[in-house]
Amino acid sequence: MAMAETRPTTPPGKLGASLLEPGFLAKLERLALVSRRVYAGQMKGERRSTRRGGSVEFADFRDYVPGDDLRQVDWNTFARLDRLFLKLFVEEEDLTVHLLIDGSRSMAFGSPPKGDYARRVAAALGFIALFGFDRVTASVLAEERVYTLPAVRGRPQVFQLFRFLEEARFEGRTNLARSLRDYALQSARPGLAVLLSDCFDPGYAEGLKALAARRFDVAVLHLLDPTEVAPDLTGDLKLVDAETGEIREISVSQHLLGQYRKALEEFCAGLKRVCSRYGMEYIRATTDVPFEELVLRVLRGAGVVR
Amino acid sequence: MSALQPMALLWLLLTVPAILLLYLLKPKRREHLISSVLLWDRLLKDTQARTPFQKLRRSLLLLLQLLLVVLLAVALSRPFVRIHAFGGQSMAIVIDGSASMRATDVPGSRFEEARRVARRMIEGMGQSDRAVLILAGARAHAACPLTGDKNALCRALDEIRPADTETRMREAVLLAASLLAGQPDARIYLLTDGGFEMEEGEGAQAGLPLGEAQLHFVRIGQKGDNVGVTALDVRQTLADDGGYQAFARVRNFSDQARRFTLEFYRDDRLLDAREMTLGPGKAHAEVFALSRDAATGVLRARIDAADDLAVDNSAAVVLQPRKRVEVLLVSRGNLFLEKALSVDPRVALSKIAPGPDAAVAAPRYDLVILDGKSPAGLPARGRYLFIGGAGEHAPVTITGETRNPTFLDWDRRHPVTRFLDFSSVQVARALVAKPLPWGQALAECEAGALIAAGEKDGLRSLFLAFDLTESDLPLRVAFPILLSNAVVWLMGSEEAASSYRALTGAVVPVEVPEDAREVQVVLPDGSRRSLRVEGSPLLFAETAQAGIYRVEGKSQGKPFRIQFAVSLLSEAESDIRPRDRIAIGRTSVPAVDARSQKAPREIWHGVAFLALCLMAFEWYAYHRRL
Repeated sequence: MAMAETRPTTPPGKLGASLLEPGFLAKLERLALVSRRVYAGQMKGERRSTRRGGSVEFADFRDYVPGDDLRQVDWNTFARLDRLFLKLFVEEEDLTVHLLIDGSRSMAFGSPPKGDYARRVAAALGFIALFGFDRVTASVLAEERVYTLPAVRGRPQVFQLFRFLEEARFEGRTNLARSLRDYALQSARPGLAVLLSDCFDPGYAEGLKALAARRFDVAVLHLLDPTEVAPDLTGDLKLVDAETGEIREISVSQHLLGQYRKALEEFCAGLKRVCSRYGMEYIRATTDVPFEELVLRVLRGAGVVR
Repeated sequence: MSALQPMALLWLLLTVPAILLLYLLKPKRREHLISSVLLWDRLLKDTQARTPFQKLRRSLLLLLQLLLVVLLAVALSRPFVRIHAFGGQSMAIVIDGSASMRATDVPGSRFEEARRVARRMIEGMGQSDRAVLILAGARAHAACPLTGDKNALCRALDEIRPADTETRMREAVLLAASLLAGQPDARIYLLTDGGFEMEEGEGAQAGLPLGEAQLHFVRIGQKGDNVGVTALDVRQTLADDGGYQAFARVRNFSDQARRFTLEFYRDDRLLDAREMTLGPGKAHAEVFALSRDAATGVLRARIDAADDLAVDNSAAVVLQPRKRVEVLLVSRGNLFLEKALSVDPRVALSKIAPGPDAAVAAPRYDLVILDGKSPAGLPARGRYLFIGGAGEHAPVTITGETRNPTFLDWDRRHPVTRFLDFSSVQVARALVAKPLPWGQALAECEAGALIAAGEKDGLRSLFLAFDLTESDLPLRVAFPILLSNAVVWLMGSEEAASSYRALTGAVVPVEVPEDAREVQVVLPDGSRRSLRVEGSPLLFAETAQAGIYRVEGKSQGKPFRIQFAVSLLSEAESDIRPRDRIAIGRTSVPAVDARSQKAPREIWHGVAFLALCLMAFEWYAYHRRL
């Protein structure tokens, strides 16, 4: 059973600067995360909530009952109908954004490591969310334990988020099924969830299903290294799994590489199929795409940010 | 397909396990870190072999390498296939170019068939094979030297022509054996119908000195349907009318009775025709009388049989009016001589007493017989018979006299003394004679020559060492024969020239006028040969064609023309039945059919080339990682 715990915090320093550049941050300020679902929030925010509240947007009428705030009575209706109605407005509350980062050792693979890439994308998304007055929580998913940053809110908390991401380590084994199921069950407030993972775990479907069951609005950012898409292998090799240490012996041939590419496409297609079944957004990205471009163009194109 | 060295295939026992072992041994693999084996598992599930043997199944390189060593081992085993060809790294193709090969019982002729067979042999030659082409006719000659150049051989093959001669196969085989001496795997192929006699010359019984060469008899020809003129001769009749008799013999060589007509022509005019039927293998001789006046021109005997060989259906002789021999007898009177000379119908005898007149008269006569002491001043050129005395042109020098000499020995082969027996001839007194360098003793006693003959520069003389009256020789049977022989020999070829005829392939002596310097010989096919005359008789050897030859030239400003006939007249050649075997010494060589000949042809070149291609492909496959 993975334990959610808070990692010891380190004093804020220049952490944010190493993750994201100031000029890029300025661009991020103009972006906002998009949720296709409406959730009940915790505090006043900038998003429509399921609750009725105090925004300027009309929502409904309802009968007055004693104890209601008289300021909300629609006097025009009372004058016409001689009955008391309360005019209800849409409440605007905050949204909880869940940044789920695959913390397995396979994410440390690649140049740049997929983990670093995930860290930066998560930082960018978290920055956008915090600047949009949303609540942000981040988790590094590994089989043994799940490191979680408790939900933070407000622009100043961005450094706390950045520090958490800086300290994230990619050294465990993946068990997406269990990690995601536990996360879904333990999460108090479902909201927009962004999964940053290479999904090299056959249990991803089960995990995504658990998230869908808790009505998370999920975007899967499938991160791949270019060498995983087109391996530059030659000769007789002993392939060592970075996570499990498992060994596969292969003799590379054109035929085998072709088979590999086919297997990868099938794998991605399978993942995409699962995502569309649960109404999730699937975005495939290789780490040779500059992550600024990913955030500013690819995610915007996919409708994750606005 | 078989192999010359099948043991080389044992290499497979060594190399195939070695290659398999190399594949079974785990290659030392480089370690390579990847993020996850998840994807690889998906595809290796299908492709990754679980056991080493399954691994072998999928390897193209292994397959190629195994195929490569198999091909190399097969190449080393020197495989061969049997193809329709003649074997032998060194071949002598001896084509019979004799008259019987012109038989038409096979398409074209037997010679054309032999040419086709030879062409197949040449085309069937391997890369390193060499061959020599020999044409065996009246003389054997190599039409193409020992070479591996098929084009040169085929060109030479196109150029050879058959002749109307007999075959000197022994000479051809000996030539072939000497040309192939020291060559590897030497074989002599005789492309012939077998119609020749191998057994000729001395030592024939011991066989031929073939060396290492094997002799093969490739039979050409299918049947022997032939009727031929095998003899034709003309001779003077014994009757005193000066007429002639033509004698012709025909033989049926076929298996069934033949009916045909024998015709005699003189200068293309039919003189006589005789119908006859001959049983298989039977011969028949016909005699045909010619009057004295008719004895000029060309006499031809022809049979009208439609058989397979045309060249022997006709034979010819050239008749020439026989000149009478003008004989001058210088004698005081010798009954024996006069009687003996007068019975000879050729001789026109004149007598003169010894004296100066005799020497003056001598140049007008063909032959001068000097009985006893001879006059001085005889011409240096001429024909002389000295009896009991030697003149200035006798072939001997006289050193004395001897009494009662006995004939010890005499030359039994010389035309003058052959068939004669002198063993009991009594001689009372004889001159002791020593032959001059240009003379030759024909009969000898203890002291010297009793009969001597000599010949030089237009002079021909005969010497008898004793007076006929002092011997019993004139009473013997030998005497008229001796005298007749002497006249024939002294008159020499002029006598023989009365009927110019020769066999094909023989050297023909042609008496040309003394002052002719250059003559043209027109061959039966119309072609001409220009010859310089070195002396008379002119020897003409290019008699491969049967027919009439004309010798034309100029003598004393006037053109002259001499004809002679060349005919096959050979029983061996006319007998065109293909033989089943030919005998060489004590061994006989059976005939083989040209079509059934199969020879091994090594194909390791091709196998090795295939291996090379495979190796190149293996290299390509290795680098392209197919």
